[in-house]
Amino acid sequence: MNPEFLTISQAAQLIEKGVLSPVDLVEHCLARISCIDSTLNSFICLLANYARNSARIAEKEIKSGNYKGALHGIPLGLKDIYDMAGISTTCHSKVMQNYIAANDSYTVRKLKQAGAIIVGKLATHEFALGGPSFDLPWPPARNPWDQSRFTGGSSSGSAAAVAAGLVLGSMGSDSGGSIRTPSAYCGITGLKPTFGLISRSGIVPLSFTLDHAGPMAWTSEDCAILLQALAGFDHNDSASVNVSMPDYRAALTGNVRGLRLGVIRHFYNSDISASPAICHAIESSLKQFEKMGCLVEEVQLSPLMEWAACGTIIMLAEGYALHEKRLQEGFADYGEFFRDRMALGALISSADYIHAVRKREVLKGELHQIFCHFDALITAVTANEAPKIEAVGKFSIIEKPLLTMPFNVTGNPALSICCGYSENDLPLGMQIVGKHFAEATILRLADAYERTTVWRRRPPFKNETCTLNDFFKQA
Amino acid sequence: MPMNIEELLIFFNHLGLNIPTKELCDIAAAVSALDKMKVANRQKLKVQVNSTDVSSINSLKKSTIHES
Repeated sequence: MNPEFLTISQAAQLIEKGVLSPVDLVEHCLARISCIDSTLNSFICLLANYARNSARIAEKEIKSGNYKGALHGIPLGLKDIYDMAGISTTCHSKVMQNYIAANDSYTVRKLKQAGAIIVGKLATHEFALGGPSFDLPWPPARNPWDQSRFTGGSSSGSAAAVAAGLVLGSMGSDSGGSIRTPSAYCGITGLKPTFGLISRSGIVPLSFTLDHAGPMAWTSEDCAILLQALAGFDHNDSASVNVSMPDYRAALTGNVRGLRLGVIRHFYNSDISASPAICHAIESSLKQFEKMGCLVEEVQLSPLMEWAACGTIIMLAEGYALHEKRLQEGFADYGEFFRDRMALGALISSADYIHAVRKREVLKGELHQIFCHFDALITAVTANEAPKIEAVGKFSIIEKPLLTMPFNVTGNPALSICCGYSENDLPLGMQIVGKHFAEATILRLADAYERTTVWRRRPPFKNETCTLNDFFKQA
Repeated sequence: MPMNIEELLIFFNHLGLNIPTKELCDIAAAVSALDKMKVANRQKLKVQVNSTDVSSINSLKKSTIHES
């Protein structure tokens, strides 16, 4: 591991031992942001003074023996749809650029309680849907592996900032793949938890029944650390579920022997055609899982298009319902990608929506049946490596079914991990899907995979000229 | 569902959405993909509608006729 590229787990160990100061770690991140982010555009709002003050407080607390746990003193970023008291929540939109949040979202409150340090608010697609857009007050985030490439969306800045080592973890949201797609394109780990496990109160919604909040980080162990702090019942989110929580990090035993994995090959082999590189990377990963003692078997579900159609109709209809009034009052106030995608929502009738809601129950039943025979399912996250940013079409979300959408429809937990690199040296993602509230199982699988493969040892910026010493000189 | 630009223009105007012509053309080009999704959702449910819902509607009709 590049010493300048600490994971949350590594930094936490050093902080707890007193070897690394939260103040130095925050300065390192701020210096790195100042050095790199002008080319990545991952930050919308940098909270440098707030972060420095919080780091000083964290350092004092730790020195006085009040260490709160693995997030204490760890610099994180928030997708700019999360409310943080006294700070703007722009949703990357002109429509919201003057909005200042009165309160912390539930998740921000939990992160602060755990001692984490919020360094800033991160780029997103407009209202978690419209992007990559060049007609908004802020430019779209760029992929750290190749800045001409798309980060994926909508948690674009959240993925770019973690991949570039600007923060050690971030918060994203996922209504059709918005945590998992950017995680795959930027080569990090992203978890969309079970619907209801992490509260969405204080997060600007897109689609009430599909929105999930979740962590993004360099490793699945870091996602487990974040999930531990974030999960829990919140009466302010009607979808929030009161379940007992396991110790997610303790579940990362490395032992996956006997776990039954179902591979949904037809999603990416025939329903849509994934690139040979992705197919090869997933096949190699399956062999690795077999080597570790997993039992791998192919499974057949309804065609991908049916899952994607159900989710997309629900997402557009629910999104339009939220934005209808403002679209009527000022259609041009929104960016073109967002407003035209939302216009499609206006074309969805109540009957169309109800058919989709009924179909959703059929599909949920289908996946539930499959999970009687398997502990986890494996499929691709995307069909290809990250495309050139200019090549992403306005209606890409309806032109090709999303490989991530099925698990928004069903609410099952789904994780994206890096499973290799393309010929262009761009990261490739694999999706691990679990039973409802079985995050511990998919995190265990992902962690075991990450520890026995080389992909986590390779951050972007191979020829990086900015070294740690340079950062401190600048700071 | 409105399919061509003229129909879309009337439809969106009725909703109070002031969409520029160039964007209406883009939206018109995307409508068929949206329609395919709607059809996909309905198709899967047809079996249920024929076997359950329609039969209950028929029995309802019969009882209504009876009463009248």
